Amino acid sequence: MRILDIGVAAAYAVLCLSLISFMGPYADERRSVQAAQDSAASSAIFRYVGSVGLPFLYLAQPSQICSSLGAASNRTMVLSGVIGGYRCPGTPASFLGSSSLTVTISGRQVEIEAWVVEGQ
Amino acid sequence: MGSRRAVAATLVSVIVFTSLLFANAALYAAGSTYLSSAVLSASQQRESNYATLLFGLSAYSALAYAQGYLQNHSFDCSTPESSYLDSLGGSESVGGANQGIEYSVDASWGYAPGSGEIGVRDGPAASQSMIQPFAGYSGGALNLEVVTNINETLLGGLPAYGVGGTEDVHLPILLDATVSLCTSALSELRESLSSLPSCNASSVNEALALLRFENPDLDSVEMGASAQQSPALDGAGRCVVQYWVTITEEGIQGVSGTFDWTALGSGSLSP
Repeated sequence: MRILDIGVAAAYAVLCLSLISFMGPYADERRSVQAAQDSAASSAIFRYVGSVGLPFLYLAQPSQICSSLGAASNRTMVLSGVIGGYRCPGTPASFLGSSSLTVTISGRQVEIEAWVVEGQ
Repeated sequence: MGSRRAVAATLVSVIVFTSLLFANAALYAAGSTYLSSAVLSASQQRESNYATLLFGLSAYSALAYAQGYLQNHSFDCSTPESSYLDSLGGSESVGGANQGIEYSVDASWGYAPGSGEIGVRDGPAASQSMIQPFAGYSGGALNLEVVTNINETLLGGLPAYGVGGTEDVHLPILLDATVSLCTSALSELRESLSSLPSCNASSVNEALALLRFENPDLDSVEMGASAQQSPALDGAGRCVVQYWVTITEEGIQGVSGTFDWTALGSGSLSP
């Protein structure tokens, strides 16, 4: 009887612990934080496009666009891009969130990337 | 006695683990709700931002189209200007997917004859910064009114987002001033050439020189004329004078780079 009792209790405990580990809230929390960081990176890209304007992205030399992306970067957000195959320097080795946007302006393709490198 | 203890211990264990399970389930549900909210919020933010960009791209297309037309077609100030300005209108429908968003854009634009409205009506105001410095209405310049309707859906489902609006944009050509100068120059030229003393090149050149001397404001206008005696059946002939004016605005900064725009006019008379 006692052995059966211990067996049932142990089996229930194992079942509960399995469910607890399967339904861990920490994975969702990490994904929420990741979504927020990616969203921050995405917003930074749109802020950059709004600050320089589409005519600039069409008319400027790739090096000028790279400079402006560098100027728009800060301690927590790094912006870079690829303009007609020319890649701007400044890709971070590690980051918390990222986003990219490709804009085609009168045939010129400009890809803008943003990385969150520190918590916001 | 020992059996009862074992049952009690089992029951306590069941209660403890069940409590843990429920507590964890509550945390899990809260976490899932937070994740869903965060993802939904981020998606809506992205759709809103992307719609602003699409508004900007729509206005850019309208300006690029108008610039291309101005570059390739001179304005004839001796004909009604409405047909020329009507040709600046256009429309486009585009669709695609970017940033995880499926979108469709319907845009149409046309010449805006002094609406007096400024910036964006109904649409996202931030789109104006996308096309700086061509945003908004500018008195005397070539103004366009762009109507844009955007529909977006997150790839794979909700949330759907739709927005429409009208915005004014401009190309910095001196439209009103140039048209006015062109028509007045043409009128002055016709007046000067209407009473030539004789039907030859020197009389024409004298009339042109006198016109320039008396109207220094026509310095930026290229003018020319020719006089020719046309044969007539009665042998007397008659003097036919053909004249023209040209005004070129050079180095205008447009959305696709600098360009030149020309206004011209011509006429003929038999003094």
